[in-house]
Amino acid sequence: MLLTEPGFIIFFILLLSVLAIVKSRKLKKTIILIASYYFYSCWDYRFLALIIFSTLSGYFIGKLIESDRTLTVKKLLLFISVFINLSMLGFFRYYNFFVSSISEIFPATNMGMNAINLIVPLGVSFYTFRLISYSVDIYRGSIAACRNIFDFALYVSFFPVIISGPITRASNFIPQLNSFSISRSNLYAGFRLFIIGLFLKIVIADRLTSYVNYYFSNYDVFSTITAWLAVLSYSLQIYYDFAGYSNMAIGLALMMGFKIEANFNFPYLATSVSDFWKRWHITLSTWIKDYIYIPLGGSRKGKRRVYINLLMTMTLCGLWHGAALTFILWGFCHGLFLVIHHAWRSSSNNARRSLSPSIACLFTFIVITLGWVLFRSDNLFQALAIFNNLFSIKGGITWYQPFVVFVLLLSFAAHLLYNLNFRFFTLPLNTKYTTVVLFCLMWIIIVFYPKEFQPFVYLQF
Amino acid sequence: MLTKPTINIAISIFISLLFIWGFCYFLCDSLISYEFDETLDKQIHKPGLIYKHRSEGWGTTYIGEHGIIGVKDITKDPRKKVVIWGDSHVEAFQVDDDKKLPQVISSLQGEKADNALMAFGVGMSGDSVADYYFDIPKYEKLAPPIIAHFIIISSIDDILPDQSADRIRGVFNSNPYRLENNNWKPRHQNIKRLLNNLGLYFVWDLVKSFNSNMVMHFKPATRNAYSNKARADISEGPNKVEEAISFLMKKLRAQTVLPIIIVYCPYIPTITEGKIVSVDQGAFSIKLLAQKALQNNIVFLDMTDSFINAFNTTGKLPRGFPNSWPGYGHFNVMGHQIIALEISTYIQRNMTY
Repeated sequence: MLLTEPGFIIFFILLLSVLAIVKSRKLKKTIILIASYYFYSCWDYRFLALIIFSTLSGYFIGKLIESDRTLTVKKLLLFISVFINLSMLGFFRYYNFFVSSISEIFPATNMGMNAINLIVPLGVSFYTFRLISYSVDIYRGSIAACRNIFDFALYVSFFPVIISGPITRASNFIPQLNSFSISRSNLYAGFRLFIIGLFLKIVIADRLTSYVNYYFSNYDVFSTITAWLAVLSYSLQIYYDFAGYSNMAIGLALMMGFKIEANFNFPYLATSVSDFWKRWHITLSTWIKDYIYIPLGGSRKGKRRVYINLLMTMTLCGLWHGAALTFILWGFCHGLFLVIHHAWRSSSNNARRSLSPSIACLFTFIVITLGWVLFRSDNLFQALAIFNNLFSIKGGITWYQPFVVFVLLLSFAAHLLYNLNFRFFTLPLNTKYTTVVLFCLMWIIIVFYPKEFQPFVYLQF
Repeated sequence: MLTKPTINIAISIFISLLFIWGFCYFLCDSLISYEFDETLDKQIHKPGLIYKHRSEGWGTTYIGEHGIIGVKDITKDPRKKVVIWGDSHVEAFQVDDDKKLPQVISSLQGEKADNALMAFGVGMSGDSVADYYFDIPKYEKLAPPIIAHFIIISSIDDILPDQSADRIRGVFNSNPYRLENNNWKPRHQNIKRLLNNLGLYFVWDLVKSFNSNMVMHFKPATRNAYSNKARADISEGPNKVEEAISFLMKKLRAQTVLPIIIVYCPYIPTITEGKIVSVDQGAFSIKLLAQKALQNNIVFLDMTDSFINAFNTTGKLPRGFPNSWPGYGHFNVMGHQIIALEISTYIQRNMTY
């Protein structure tokens, strides 16, 4: 059941109606927990066992970390918690990659390991990260362990965010379990976010997908102009797809009375790669900063260490996105961009001679867009061929899809307006035209409602 | 008494409905409706309808009397005629009327032979050779003088028996081979006509969205790691294909004394797995069709080389549109022109009228 499917919308309306009728908050939480497990079981009920196991281990280890007074035991418990979660993630997501990489690098070696048919549990990358952050936060003393196992279970399995985030923090979510309520203002604000997200996903991203997919499957026959159009389109597709999903998830949570952290803030307006990561998949980048980069030493241990930390962190970020060399290289490149930016900024001369924001923004966008080529390509060979298409004057079929050109121009205009502080198109809550536009978007969504649904890009991660 | 938010919502719904009406009026396909034609004894596109196609290509089509596309009243045209038979490729909603195959042929013939010959198309999405078989005598009677029939086919499937289609009228069945005429009746025509007249296409789109084949999953499920099931082998043996083609060619030939020309327009050149493919996968079966056609005094025109040459010269593919996929789907303007030129040249060389 995807968030875009009519079945889900019916499920959610029914759930919301029940929640509106029920008075007791305890009962409401139980209903949401059952709904979350039901939602997950529509994908594959067998993996509920894994979620329940993770929940139980996370809950009890959390309590033990909090109650134990010796640092060594705390550390050991934290290690166990992190180990359990990373083992799950590693086994389901990286086992086959590891085995095939070993056999490719050392073809003569027979370690008795063969690739196995594995189903990657939906959302495993997201809920394991939530569980790790929970344990680490308790260890650091920044939050208290959750007292109620059902509350904790709801934190782990909360259905709007379980499959593709945002990666909510326990410090934000768990306290809300004692105060959430359905209100008219939350309903409207949540509905607004949900419709905007659904529009971005179904009307914009899914239509760009068909163009992008066709190009990436047949890149060799198309001209340089088409290559640029397709690569730019992918930048927008992945953004609208994931930002659309995040908006929907945040909107759904808000309709039930929960405030989830924002995940995007006009990332293509970033003036550096470092700025980009403060605006793109914010909950992941802050997670990586808090739980990988800073523990590695962050920027406290000298320049060389900072650069190593940045490269390591971003390479791991790439690996998190997918078990393939393209993802690892994509992460490494981002690490490298961050290192270059850091070095540039730390040089006092360059700090004074910084680029104008418009040029910096354009330059960053191009760098990010080129990075997406690695991210989207099936293998390095394909990525290199597409880079070659982009930077050589290549003939071939030129394909300007009107919708794609329209979306590119419109996106450019929207970003420009936002930068100039004209924000009317973001549909602010307290304006009269917002309701009208939301209904217009809703009609367009219904008219263009697909018969076959494109999965969210981040569903695979 | 109505509250302020209720009034706001009502106004918003009203304004948004106006918006979606205008949006769909310009950017969505309009509705095609049918009506029964007593003379032809079949369902035809409703005469007088102006149909706008936006989802693939960008074309406006005028439906004339007796459902003939782009011709006001075929019965009042005294010129000698050729009929272009086909399915949605001849219907050609994707391009404007003057760019459609029959109109381009008429225009080319007009240039060459003092307007002595015109072409008109008989094509509806889903039509097959079985339909042409039943319809040939009817159109010969409706719009004389007809001097030849050109049948556009795109693959061997167009002439093999037991093919599935959305709208089943003429059917070619096997065991034993037979051609049957079903009485296909379209549904919801009054509603569609009303919505079309009011320009409310989006209402139909809404109904379709809710009424489409969307499967809603409410049951807990399981996933499979792999689902590569072996595809069932549905190909028939060469003898069966030969028998079927022979039967159809004989039947077709027996239906009229006029020349019949099968025009084969393959799905090449096309883009497959990152390459421009100019090899026709159906070439073997088509060779068989050409043989059997010839044995039955039916001419076979193969567009394969013309399509390849046009691509080599212009770098453009005969099928596909900017708003769909290059190389796939229906003929674009260039595709219509290439076929029209080939047919026109054939007429000039082989027919006296």
